Amino acid sequence: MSLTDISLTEPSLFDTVKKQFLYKLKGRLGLFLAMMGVQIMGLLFSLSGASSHGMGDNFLYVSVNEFSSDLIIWFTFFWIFVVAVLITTKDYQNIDFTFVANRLSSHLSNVGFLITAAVIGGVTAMLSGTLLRIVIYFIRGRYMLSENFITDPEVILTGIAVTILYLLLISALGYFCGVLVQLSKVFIVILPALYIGTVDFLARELPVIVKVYNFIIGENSLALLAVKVLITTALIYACSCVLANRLEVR
Amino acid sequence: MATIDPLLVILFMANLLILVLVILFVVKSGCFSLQNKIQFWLIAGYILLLLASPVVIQMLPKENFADERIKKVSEKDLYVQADLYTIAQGASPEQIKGVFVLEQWEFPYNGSMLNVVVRPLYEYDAVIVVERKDSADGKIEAVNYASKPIVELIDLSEIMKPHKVALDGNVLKVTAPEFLQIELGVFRNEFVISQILGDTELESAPWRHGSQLIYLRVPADVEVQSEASVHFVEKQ
Amino acid sequence: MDVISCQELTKTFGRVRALNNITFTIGQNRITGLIGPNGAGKTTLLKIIAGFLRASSGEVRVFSEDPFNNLKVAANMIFIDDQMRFPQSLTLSEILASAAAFYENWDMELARRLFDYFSLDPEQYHHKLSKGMKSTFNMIIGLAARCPLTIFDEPTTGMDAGVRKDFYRALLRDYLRKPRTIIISSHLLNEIEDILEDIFLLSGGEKRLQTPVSDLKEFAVALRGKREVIDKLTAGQEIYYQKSVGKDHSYVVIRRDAAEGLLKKAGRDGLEVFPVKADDLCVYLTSRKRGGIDSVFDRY
Repeated sequence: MSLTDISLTEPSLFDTVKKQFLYKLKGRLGLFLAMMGVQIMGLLFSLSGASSHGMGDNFLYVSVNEFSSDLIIWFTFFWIFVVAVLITTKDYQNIDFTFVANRLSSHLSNVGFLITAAVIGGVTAMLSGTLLRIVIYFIRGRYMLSENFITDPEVILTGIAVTILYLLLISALGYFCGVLVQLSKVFIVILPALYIGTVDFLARELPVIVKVYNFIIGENSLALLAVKVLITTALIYACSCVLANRLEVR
Repeated sequence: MATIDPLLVILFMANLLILVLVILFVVKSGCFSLQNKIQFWLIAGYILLLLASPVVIQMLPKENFADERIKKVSEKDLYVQADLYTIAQGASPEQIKGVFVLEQWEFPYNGSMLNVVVRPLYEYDAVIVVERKDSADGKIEAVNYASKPIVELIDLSEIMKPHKVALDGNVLKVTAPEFLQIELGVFRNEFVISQILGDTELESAPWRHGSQLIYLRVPADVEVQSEASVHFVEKQ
Repeated sequence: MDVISCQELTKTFGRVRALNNITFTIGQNRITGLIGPNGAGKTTLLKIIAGFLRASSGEVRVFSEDPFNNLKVAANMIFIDDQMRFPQSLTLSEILASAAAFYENWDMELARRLFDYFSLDPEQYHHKLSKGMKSTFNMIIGLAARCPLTIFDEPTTGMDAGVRKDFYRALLRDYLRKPRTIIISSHLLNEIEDILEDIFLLSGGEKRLQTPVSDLKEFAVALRGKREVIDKLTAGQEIYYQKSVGKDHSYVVIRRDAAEGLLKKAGRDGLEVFPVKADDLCVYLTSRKRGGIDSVFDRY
């Protein structure tokens, strides 16, 4: 070997994941722009109020319009699902494997990216609710009741934590679906059919569905919810990594 | 679980579809060719705005809220049953808790016959209670009693409109109050919050109807007749 | 030390056999040209070496490791083709900065100089470049990354002739300064012949030839003469190319050592001997039918 020879580098997985993560964060800012768009859209839709109920007698009819930023949070859930599926597609994969990567580093940096997205999404979705309150205050402040208007910091923080947990879970599911589709295009048909079949219409009362529902949505303790969601999320990500580890790329 | 309106499901799906299209549109085209720096500052600005909003919301003047302007009642008051109908059965209005005088009138009257009419005819069922006084003092007293309507713990009695009572010859005309429509807005906590902290009392606080009643005190020598249903009570 | 070694490598896609039983090694710090017609399996072979695709059977070793899904191989290898994708929101200079973070030996100075020379705009976006400009940019990344194994898959797609020449010149200069193992694939030999040390011929998924370029020039000769004489002489020989010349003459290309033996025996009477240009030979060796496109029309 001559002196001018290029020596082989010994990359560490952690280093590679870190580099890829930063590269992805930089290159996928547009996805956060999409989040912004989705949340602002949710905010606009929420301006007219979510539901209203009224009471009347012979002299008086009182209707109370309920406002809520639930829609913004639902939209954010939807956003992270689409993002999670999107980053498993060939286009995004090619970007990964243009520079140094193996499957594991690519997955881990994607997971890192999705965790970041969940945190940013959770914080912004909940705070969009505060922004919505401010907007409503100015456009119809005189009709507003002060109840739930100014939320205590610990309540907002609880909301942010729960939203982040849901976003983590949904992103993991989206990523898993994306990986399945990468494995076989058959899943493009199977997954929506499965979803509509089991969750949406036919089997709402199915014991399994009810159990899953109670497991996550019925959990009233933040700590338990966190434990359940984090373990489930980790398992789903692990499955995705194992399943996609032998996938060919580029 | 409440049954789900299929129309709602369709609307929801349509919304989702729009959402997917928006996401894909933003991702695939236009915005993506925005400079990275511009993208970064847009997002950073958005996040800063959101982070500032909990501070901003604290600074908003609270007097503007509907329930700050209108009297609030305690939850205890909700359970004070003010059944105006017991008056029609002979209870004394002053003895019933939660009943108050919304308006009162006094008319000098010398006739021997009083015809009570209610307007609008056929559309409005006024509760009219007539009490004959001991003496023939030549005065008709009319009192509009009411019980408080309470919505979200707000006492709406202040904005309640009274009946109109007018005497024209031997006809006492009772006109239904102007119908009031009030719109209020209230925030519901996000579902992610209520999952952990439970629902706020918003849903649990019952609403109370307000009701009104016209109490007439007529001189002893006056005969009252009406096409509307009139309840006669004896003076306690 | 061999940088790449393959043993009986086979790759199938469903029923299609893209690579068939290929065995070879590529030594350190050599420039190898991978030559073959479209569909020969060049890209497949390169992607297996790069670790993107998995061999169906056989053994592949790059830096003595199985390249598939191998981080060490990925870190020491760069694969340049016209399918390279970058985040659309990054400018060219931002992409360079990102690439610099990934590759330890990255030479930003070289990248900048090449950028200037090819007058690329650092504030431009990759997806807005023309095809040729994209190739130029990708090539700059490939060179500046200074990877011990640098793979160019059809790197000059869309480049005009001047840029191609500059590219090969730049490649050679940089190689001399910092020797490394380079593989360039192309369906034509002629324009890269000058910079190659070794040549690897691939056709129909099979290895045809792997030899130093200097040997390739000496590898075969062409004989021309009366058809009967030629036919008789070359019976039982491996004929790389054959065509009819005039009414009763024939032109065949065979191995030089075989030809020398035959000529010794039979004498040179009535036969003309020509050298065969390397790029022509490549075409002969990798073409589907021995007679070339003419054979379609000859017995028509």
